[in-house]
Amino acid sequence: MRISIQHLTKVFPSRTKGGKAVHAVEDMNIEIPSGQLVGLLGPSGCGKSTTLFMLSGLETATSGKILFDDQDVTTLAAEKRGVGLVFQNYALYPHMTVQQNIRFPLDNMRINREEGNARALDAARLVQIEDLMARKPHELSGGQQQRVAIARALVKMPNVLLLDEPLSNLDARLRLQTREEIKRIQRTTGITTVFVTHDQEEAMSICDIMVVMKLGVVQQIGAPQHIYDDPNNLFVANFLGTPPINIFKGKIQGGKAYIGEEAVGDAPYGDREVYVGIRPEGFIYNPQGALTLNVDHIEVMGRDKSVVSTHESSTKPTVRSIIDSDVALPEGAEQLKFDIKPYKLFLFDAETEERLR
Amino acid sequence: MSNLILAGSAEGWLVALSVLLIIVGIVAIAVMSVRIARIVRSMRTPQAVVGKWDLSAGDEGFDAEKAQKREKTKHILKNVFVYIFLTLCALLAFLPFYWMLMSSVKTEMEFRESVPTFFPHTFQWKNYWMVFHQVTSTSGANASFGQILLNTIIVGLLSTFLGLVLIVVTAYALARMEFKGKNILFALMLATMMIPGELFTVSNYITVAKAHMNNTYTVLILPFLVSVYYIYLLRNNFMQIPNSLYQAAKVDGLSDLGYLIKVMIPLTAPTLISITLLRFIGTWNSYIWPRLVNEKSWQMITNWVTGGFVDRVQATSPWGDNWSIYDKFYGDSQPLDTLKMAAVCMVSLPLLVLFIFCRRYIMRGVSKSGTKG
Amino acid sequence: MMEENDNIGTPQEPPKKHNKFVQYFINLGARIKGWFVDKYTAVKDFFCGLFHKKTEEEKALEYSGPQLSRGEKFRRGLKSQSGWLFVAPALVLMAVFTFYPIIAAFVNSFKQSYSGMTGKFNGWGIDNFVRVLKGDTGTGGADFVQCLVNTLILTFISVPLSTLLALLISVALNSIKRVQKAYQTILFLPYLTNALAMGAVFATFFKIIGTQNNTETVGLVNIVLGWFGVDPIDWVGLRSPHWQIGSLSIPWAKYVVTIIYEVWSGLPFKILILFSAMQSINKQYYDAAKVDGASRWTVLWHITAPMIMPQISYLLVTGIMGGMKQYSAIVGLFGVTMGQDYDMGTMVGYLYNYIELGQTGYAFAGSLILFVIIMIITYFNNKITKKRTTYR
Repeated sequence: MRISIQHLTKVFPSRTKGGKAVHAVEDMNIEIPSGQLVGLLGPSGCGKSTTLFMLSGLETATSGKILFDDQDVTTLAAEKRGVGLVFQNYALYPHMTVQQNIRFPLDNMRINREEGNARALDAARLVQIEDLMARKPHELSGGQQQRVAIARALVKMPNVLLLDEPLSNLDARLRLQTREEIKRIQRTTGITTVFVTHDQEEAMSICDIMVVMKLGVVQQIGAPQHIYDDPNNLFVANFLGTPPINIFKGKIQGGKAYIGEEAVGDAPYGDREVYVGIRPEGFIYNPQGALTLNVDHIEVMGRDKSVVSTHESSTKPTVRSIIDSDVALPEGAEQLKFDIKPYKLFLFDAETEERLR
Repeated sequence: MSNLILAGSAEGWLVALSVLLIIVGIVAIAVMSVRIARIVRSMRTPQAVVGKWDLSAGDEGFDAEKAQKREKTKHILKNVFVYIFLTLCALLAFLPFYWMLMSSVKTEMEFRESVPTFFPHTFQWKNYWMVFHQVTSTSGANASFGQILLNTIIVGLLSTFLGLVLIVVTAYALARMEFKGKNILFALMLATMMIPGELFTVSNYITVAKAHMNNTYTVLILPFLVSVYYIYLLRNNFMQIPNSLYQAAKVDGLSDLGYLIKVMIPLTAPTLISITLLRFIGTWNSYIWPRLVNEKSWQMITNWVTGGFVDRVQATSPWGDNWSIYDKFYGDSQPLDTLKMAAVCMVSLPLLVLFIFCRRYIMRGVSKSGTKG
Repeated sequence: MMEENDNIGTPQEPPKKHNKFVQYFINLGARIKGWFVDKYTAVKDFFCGLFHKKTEEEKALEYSGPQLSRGEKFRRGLKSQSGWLFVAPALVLMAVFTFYPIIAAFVNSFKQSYSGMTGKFNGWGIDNFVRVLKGDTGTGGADFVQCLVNTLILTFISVPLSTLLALLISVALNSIKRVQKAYQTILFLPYLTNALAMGAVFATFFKIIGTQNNTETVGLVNIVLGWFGVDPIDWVGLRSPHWQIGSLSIPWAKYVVTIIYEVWSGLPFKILILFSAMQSINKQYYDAAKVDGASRWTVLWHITAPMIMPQISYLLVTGIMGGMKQYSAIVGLFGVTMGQDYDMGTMVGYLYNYIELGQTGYAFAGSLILFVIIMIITYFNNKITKKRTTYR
């Protein structure tokens, strides 16, 4: 199922009289090809869940259109859209067994008992919980509940599968396991899947297409690696990557980008104040390098080492640079000099915070 | 007979003085008991000295074995005391029931013996038969038990069932639906809980009389159908169900009504069962309102119990004319206590049976709702 | 560090101080005003919501997707208010049997010589209240002051007494390990009883039943008292001893019976509440106290009691409220006439007495006075409990 979101806007009227209305989603335009796994990424309150709920039909759009395969579903009720939705807290019916939970959507579609049971079992097999069918939700672990919720969403063979923060309630180990599981299920079924997350690592690792949002406005759409390598603005650059990108206050003068008085790279743009973003892996140690950092300490990670240092122009308390572990650094040096890889350096206009390209 | 009659103001002061004395006495006892407790505490088992590192002094001050032994004796003594106290309380709580049961099968002669018997010499099951056959026919007498039981069961079932539907529907609207003025309506309903129900009774009495509804079942059911407290309780229960469950049900293709029936009601079933039981018990025990608005044959079972039960059914008794011993002493017009006890048993036993089967729900409901049945 | 200290001590304008007495009234005034403003805004919002015309801005925020037909719009508008349909049955019943009676009670109690059935009355005034309070109703019914005194005495003795006893029993119950459930169940039994039925049973305990073969036969209580050499007392009958203060009668023997009965029937509920409250106290507190070497009484007074204070105050409040409305226990023990010449009358009993005498004006006035008294008690209850319930 191909999904097309056109000029989608959602405004919540203010709770108090005379207060400001909240623009949860503003003029969103996305085309999602069939069979793709799409991640809506952004900090909390950026409107990603609202978007998901509008796709599911639980929220009505204020304006704009949602098309499923050229069919306008904007005003269609949730139960008629044929979507499967997995909730953040799973929303399993506590008084029903796993089997009843999974079969529930089929019961509402008036599918007869045998077929319903068979399909429920198929869905359970897909998520590997066929042994737990007789249990109640409270007898399951978080990860198992998650699988039941996915099975329940899948059992009616939805056109679109929607997942709301599917991994946020799981512990770290399960999270890794489950996100691979989600990827596998999505590959097996080929269902167009949209999922919401605030964890960029999670999104980067499994998405085909990633949508980065901020305060209701889409910042950038594209493949994860592409967005990481070519961010549209300061926010996107900042949001993606662990450890996060280093941001310096700087300026452009005569086609060169300066941090303080040190030129760190070429900048074929007009003179102006800028933010200079350098990815941690963008530093190359060079005793005659362009940028001088005051070393605080060095963390050894095994595969590589991470130099934690300070710089007066940095907008963050520390600057982090990741160097291969076989690069020898002088013992006890208070200052180190680095060259900057040009493709790991991004320049943003200080006023608009837009990327200069 | 200690019959102290005080008249005039001088004696009034005397009363005031004695009340004062009693209060002073209570305070004195309280103070004394604190003192005694302090003394007892100073005498309690020795302890390891804390804050003193020199343990060689322990030879005299602290003997662990001895202390343990004493502690154990104390523990056993305490337990014995507690069990005796609780058993006494339980016996006292149960005594009236026992007395009621035993009295109900005693002969009136035995009941009036100057030294009461704890176990009847003869079991006179006839008492129940007699109570069962108290009939309305003669003036001032009670309605028949069958009629009264029918009234109670019809009114009890109807008011419980209808009330439950009303409570569920209203609580659902207040918890899940959005409409203008909802919060004001809810606040208004809650505010009426502050007002004692007796304030309504007078007007309701007039309303009912004017509507010519006296002597109907309707009048027993309608005024008490809405129970704001239960609505409040259930609404809170409904509100606790996470919203995502509703959304999940929507996505799963369930209508609002379907959600209410398939999800909300099963999830709040314990509360609903408690409400049902407590409502039924409440109806079973209702007394004042039926007495006000209905005649004897339209009243409820509790009203029936308060009537006198007399030995006036010999003529129709299966034991023939000559079976009763009562009339030798008391004639047939004086209410008999044994009969009354039999009637009380007939009213109380169903509740006890209900309690045996639904103990969990009743106790939970009571502790949650905190209303008297 | 020193510099920081300087910053903390930023001088602030001290609020203007009034004398305590004046301040009290200023606060009171502010609170009353706040109450009215709250209610006013709530009501205003409600009506504005009903008749409000939407501003352009608000219209812009509304759904502007695919245009809806007029019929569809109307249907949706109606659907959004369908909640009223759900609450309508309850609302209608409450309007007739709850809201209307409140207004009626206020209005009708000021009608002199009011007859509920015909609706006739003889001018407005506070005649009803005066006559009720003076006991000058001229109908031979119960006396209001007597009823009030009875109710207050019975309530304020039996409620604290049964709460204290319940506390004791709950503590005992909480300290044992075996057969706890069994004790709890037996102790709960009296809850389910019918006040009237068990009242009758209690009456037989105290009764002097009658004469048999020219010797007086007495109930269980008198027999037990007889072992200690006490002459039988007619606890509930016509010869029941009492004190007389002016026109007020203090039937102390009947008080004793009533209080015993009310303690017996009130205990189960109180034990249930207190016991389950104690059970829900986190065991860690007790362990900590044990390690700290606290004695049993210290634990009781410094851990258990504060933790269940909310429940205790709740029990006292509901107990006093229930006590103010007691009636059926009295009927069970002393019959419909509430003792001899209504000397065991209660305030609620007073109302029913006058309803049955057909004197609805007095009944209305009585119910309003009862309402005011209960409101006063509620007010003080709230004041006290607000101070006390700080632990949850």
